[in-house]
Amino acid sequence: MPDLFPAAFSPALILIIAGALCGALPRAWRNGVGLVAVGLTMAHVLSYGTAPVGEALLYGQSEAMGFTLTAVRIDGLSRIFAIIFTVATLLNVVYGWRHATLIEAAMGLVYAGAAVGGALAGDLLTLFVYWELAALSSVFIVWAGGGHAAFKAGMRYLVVQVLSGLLLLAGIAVIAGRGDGLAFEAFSLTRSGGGADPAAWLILVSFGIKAAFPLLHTWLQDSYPKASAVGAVMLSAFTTKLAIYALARGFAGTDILIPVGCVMVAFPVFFALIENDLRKVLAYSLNNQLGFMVCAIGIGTPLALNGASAHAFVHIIYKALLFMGMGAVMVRVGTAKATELGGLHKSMPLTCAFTLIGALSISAFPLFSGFVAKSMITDAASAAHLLIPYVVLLFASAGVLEHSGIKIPYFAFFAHDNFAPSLTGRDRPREAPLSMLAAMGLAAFACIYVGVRPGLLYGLMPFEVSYEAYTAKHVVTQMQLLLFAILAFALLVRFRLYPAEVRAQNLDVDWLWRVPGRLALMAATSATARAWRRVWRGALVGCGGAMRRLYATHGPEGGIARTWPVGYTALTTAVVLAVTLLLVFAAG
Amino acid sequence: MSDHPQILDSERSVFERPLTVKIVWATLILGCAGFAGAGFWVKAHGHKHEAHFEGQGVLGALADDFPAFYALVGFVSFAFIVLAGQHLRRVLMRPEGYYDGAEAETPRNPVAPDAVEAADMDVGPGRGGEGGHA
Repeated sequence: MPDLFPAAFSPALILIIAGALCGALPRAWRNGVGLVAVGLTMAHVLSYGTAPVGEALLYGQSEAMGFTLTAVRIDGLSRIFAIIFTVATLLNVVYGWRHATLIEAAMGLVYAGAAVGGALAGDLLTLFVYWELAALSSVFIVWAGGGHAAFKAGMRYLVVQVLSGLLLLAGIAVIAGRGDGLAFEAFSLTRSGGGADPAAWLILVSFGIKAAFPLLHTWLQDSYPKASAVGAVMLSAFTTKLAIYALARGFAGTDILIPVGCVMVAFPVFFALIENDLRKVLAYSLNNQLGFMVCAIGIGTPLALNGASAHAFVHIIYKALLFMGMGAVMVRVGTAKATELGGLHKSMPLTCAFTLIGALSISAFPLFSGFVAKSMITDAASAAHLLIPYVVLLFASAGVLEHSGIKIPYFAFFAHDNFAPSLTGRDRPREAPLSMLAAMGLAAFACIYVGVRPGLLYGLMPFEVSYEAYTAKHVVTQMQLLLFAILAFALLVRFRLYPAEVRAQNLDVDWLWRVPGRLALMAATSATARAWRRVWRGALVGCGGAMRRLYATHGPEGGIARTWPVGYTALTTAVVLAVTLLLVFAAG
Repeated sequence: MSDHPQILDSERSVFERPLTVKIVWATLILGCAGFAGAGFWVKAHGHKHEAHFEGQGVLGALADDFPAFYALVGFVSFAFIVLAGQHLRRVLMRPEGYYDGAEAETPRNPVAPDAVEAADMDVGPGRGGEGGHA
């Protein structure tokens, strides 16, 4: 294929320029520009070909301040992420065809471009630029959700995202200060001479914030559910998976990521169970899915890293599909709260079917995309003889089934029929708009296609590992896990032990800074203001007194300023002379 | 799969008919039994048995050798998550609007001003439009 663009021209720039253009175009043009940009970006990414990890193809290199910057680094790892980010952009454009606002359409493309650029960045400074661009562009998508709550969540989101960028910059500064190059390669948390490497730790925490590590995760559940139906789909794809890519590139095989990943897969399961807002359930589910990837990156074997990449790939599609399903429900009903939903399969059958395909995929049923990716991660854990992580991953798989496989479709589309005309006195909500159905159909097709024909996905893997997902053992063990978990669900519902949904706000660790943290900040602010007022008043009083005293002595009426007779002057001069003579005499 | 007793019979879908529910139960139980049995079959007739967790206690032995280990993990994990997890509400649950006031919790439908279609529930009385669009 003839090259459309120079190799040094990053594919990210196509999307970013298209996003900037969209800011000044009407809807029909925006959609056209979006589609063309996605097509060109994909063609440009594919035109580079691929290279094994460690023997990357580097393009767009330049020198700045003595450092080598690399705009485009192509190898198996960067390529698969660039491709899936572009696929996600296509889904976003189609899904937002008739519902994306101007801001969402424009910033959605810039945000996608930042993710592609970050995945292709060959040096840390280029990564930082795209890292921050992703933060700045995506906050507009949060704000586009509308309302004061979305604005405040956006501000919290921005603070956290910019903090991540600052930590990355601090890490870069430490590396630059040492005189090391800025190439983005694997880091070690310990230095060769022993002791911790502060630069690596700073960068790990920076990546960890965007990957929603435990305790650093709440920005995700706080902001994503407050975005619009279209915005949440956009947000679900990029930031966290760019962080997963960065971790896979920089920290593969870092042991600490295994326990971090285990906590990440386990704790959101419980929060998702008690959450009423189904889009927030999906946000917790997203966190849990990231845990699988982080755990795999910690294991760090080629199979595990392939598993992390494959999981990121399929996850972006089925998570987008689930967010699209709930977004369509929001558009038709006005809410995504489980207490307000139910029975929608009767009037939104296609949305229901597509969401079920997303649910089957995320639950990793055989023949759906999650199965062919997640089994690589669990296999990698067992091959590394990591029993506890292995069992935690299985436990979390049952958890995924609970919140994403069952809870989402069950409470939205089945359970209590809240929309029966005999109850509401009005028609049932209509099926989702055609553009949304088209995007959901595309994503659902991809989920099934990858599940049935995993060869396509395995062909994109960063490492050469032969892997067979569809063995009798894999299928039987996974079906055992899923069917017995469903049996548990059926029995719990049958015996009324499954908790009813409740309209509530469930606290997470962000309570610490949203309530006591805020109070402490307010108290510190008022204490500082009081202290400053005291200092200022004291300074004013002190200065006033000094001025008055100076005036008293040096003013026109003061003692110094009065007229002195000549006799006093002569006497003073004589005294000074006498003292001088006596001193000279004494000295001699 | 639905348990709303007040709706009319004509409003029930095929998924809400007792026969369907029975079929689902039967399929589920047969599926569970079938795949649990298949676990034993795979262990007996599998090409090779790989022990990944030797010397790692009872759990390791179960993971390696018990053919219905995954069924056990699936059932116990799911039941534990639901039965234990719901008690988190005692500690974590607060009223809606706890952080941002009522404004944060009102149903929103942020479609673009120039969107082609308005939402169904935007206008008129009814439960879907209550409170949120005033």
